[in-house]
Amino acid sequence: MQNPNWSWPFSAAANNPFFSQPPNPLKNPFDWSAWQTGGATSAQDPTAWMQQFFAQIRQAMPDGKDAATAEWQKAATALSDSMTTQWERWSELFSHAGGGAPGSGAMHSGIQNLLDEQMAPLGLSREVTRQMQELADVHAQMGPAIAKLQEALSGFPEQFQKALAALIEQRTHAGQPVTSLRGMIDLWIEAGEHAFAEIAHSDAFSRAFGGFTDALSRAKIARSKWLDGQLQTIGLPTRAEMQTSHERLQQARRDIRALKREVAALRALIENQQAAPASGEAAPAASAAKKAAAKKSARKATGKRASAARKGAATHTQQED
Amino acid sequence: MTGFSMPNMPVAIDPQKAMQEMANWQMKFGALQANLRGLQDETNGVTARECVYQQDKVRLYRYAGEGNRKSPPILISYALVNRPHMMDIEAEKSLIRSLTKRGHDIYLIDWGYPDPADRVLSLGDFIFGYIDDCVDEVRRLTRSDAVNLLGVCQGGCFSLCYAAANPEKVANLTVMVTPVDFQTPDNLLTKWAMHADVDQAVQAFGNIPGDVLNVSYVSLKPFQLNVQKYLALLDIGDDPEAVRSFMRMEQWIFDSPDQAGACYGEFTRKFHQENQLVQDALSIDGVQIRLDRLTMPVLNIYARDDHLVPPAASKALASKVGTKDYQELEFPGGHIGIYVSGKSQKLVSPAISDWLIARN
Repeated sequence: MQNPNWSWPFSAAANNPFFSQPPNPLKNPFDWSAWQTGGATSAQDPTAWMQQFFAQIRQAMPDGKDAATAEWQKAATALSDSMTTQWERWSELFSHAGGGAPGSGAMHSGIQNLLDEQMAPLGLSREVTRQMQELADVHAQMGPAIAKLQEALSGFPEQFQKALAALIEQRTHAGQPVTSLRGMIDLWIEAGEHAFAEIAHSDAFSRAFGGFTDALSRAKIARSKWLDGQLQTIGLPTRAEMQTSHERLQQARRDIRALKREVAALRALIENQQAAPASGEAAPAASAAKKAAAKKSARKATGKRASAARKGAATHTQQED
Repeated sequence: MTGFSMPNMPVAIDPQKAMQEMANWQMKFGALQANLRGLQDETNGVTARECVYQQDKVRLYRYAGEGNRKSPPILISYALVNRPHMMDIEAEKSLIRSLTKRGHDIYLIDWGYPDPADRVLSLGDFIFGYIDDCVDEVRRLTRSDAVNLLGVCQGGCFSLCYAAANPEKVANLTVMVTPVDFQTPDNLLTKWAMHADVDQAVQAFGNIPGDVLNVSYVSLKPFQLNVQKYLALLDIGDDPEAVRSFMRMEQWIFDSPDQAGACYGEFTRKFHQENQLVQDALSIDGVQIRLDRLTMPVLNIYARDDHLVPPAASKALASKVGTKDYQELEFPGGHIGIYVSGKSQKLVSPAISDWLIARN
């Protein structure tokens, strides 16, 4: 947890108006949004919620006036006891890790513990917890990546001082001592550039720079995924959805373009062939056009196939199927 | 830099002179502030032009050649990085104007500003899509079978790929500050890109923000580009026209379009990380790019002091092309100076013009 900003997604989730609807976990027990803010019996005490849930189910069942119904009630009770016991175990694990529903304060501290202990999340909020874990994790990785970059640059002051001393010495030997402030600044710039270049060209810096870029990208991807999840819950288009649409559209444009070119080449070929009998001189031109069209068609087809293969175009898949 | 102490060195700075210097800076700074106030952005270059073709965000502009002299038309494929008006940034520092004055019609591809929907555009979409369409449009407008293609930096890489795949459509090829071997020892951009998971970056960012690239470019020479450059601005602070000129460049430098994600990822991986172009191992949308298919005349212009594209990265083209008509021109300056310096107008545009006229 080197980056103090790592916790932002949780505070953002806690402040998110979509997470603060009135809790009613019994309305739909599989609607996880009801867990996010939770009531006294749900978010803070999931076992109590579970017991309440099964009690309601039992109440909703008809009285056992005959043997068959009594058997059903018995089975339901056994099932509820078994699941409640199971839930208690899971809950214990979560309590150990902090527990709580996503977006709640308990959830926040729970995530910290899960991260600290690298514990796999459980239960209905598993996927959301996993996503937040990932988000927190990639943000936490920014710290070491920045530290490595700083480490790669750490030799700069020493390099700079050496470069500046060397330049001064060089000037002195040449009988050109620094005589103005501007001359001093220019020398400072030259030394700085020289020292930085030494580091910037090094493999260590290149790797640290790459590591930093990758860490930044991972954080941004995780954040986008999280944001997409939020957008999905309120029925707005997501980035991923737009990406899919744009890719399909662009592939369709490529295909149309390739077809247009082929049609144009074929049209030219036909026109030249039609013109050929009328004039003996047109024959070579027709022949050249035919060759060019054939070559172009072959190349476009190759390109199209490769492009389609690379992009997993549906048309290509269908042909292969 | 805490704890830093000056080495024991002879510095002969006269206190009186130092005071004078500081007073001078104060005055320049005051004048600079006055000259910066109210300056407007100028984004489209200075030479008259018309849009002759457009597709999506791509525009093809035509700058009409001057006079009765009919010099060969030129199609310029600019890089996706930064905006193309750098080639026409000021009347006296405009490569485009310099060429139109020599009678060339100039066609310029402006890629526009990609938005998030453009993140799926691939290298092939740019090279075999947009460039091919612009080439066809220029062929149609000029009633010629093949164009004179001029590629700039990354646009030069695109031009090499395009010309190698479509040699029948390119009569003459000029590339400027164009890397071919991306892994020369002095190529810092490649070194920084080597260990990054670029596909993951594209997944994360979609389009790669122009500001991210700006940070990278400025970080290549952090002292010069963050300190020295602005001290130089202070030096010219009392010269309104010089300040204006400086600010045009400043605006151009930081007016960076985002990079279409898929294209950026593919370019970084195939060109920088795997160095496929110089090894003839490059394949774009299934089309093999072999530099020995460059059978048309090739003019390769590189900048001697280029810190972005080292000369060796460009000169690697010499041994790879299939043509015997290959020429190099070394420009005594840097990556940007090759377009906007006074020397450029005297050296580069006449060289391009003469070279083309001799082959048409």
